[in-house]
Amino acid sequence: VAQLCQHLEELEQTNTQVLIITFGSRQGAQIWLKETCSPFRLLMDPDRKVYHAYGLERSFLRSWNLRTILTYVKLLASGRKWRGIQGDSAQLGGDFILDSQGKILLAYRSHDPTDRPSVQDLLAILRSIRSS
Amino acid sequence: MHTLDKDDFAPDFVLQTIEGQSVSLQQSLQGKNSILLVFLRHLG
Repeated sequence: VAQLCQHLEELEQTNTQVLIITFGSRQGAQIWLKETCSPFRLLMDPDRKVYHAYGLERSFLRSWNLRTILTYVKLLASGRKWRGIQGDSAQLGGDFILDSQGKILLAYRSHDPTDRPSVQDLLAILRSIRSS
Repeated sequence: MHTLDKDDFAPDFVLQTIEGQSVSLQQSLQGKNSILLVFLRHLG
């Protein structure tokens, strides 16, 4: 999300609505919003019904693999605050891009927490929708 | 159970913002060229 925030103008040019979905607590979400630039709409899915509907996976082993632990160590070393684990730490995230009709053009389910499509890849798909 | 994939139509949903406002996917699509859904992990 922090990387998306650095491309707000490009996102606006593609006329894209960004929706951030979390299963975390309302209190945790409020803290998260304060700590990120996020101008995006943050939606609460405490029961993870939408996570399930979109096929987001959960895996403890993949969530806590060596690459993930190293990423957390780097983030903490760079000054990121650790607020503890909130909710199901095995739940994995993902990114979906839909066109104006609601058709899925990207269904990306993270293999592990560090696995996300690049912002450039996301923008390329969004631009292609805009120009089609 | 079918796993959603490219070219499927995304199922609608209604979720609340932290302020308690209900937001649906269909509503969010109106007037937009595209939607980017970002599913987060835990917020820790």
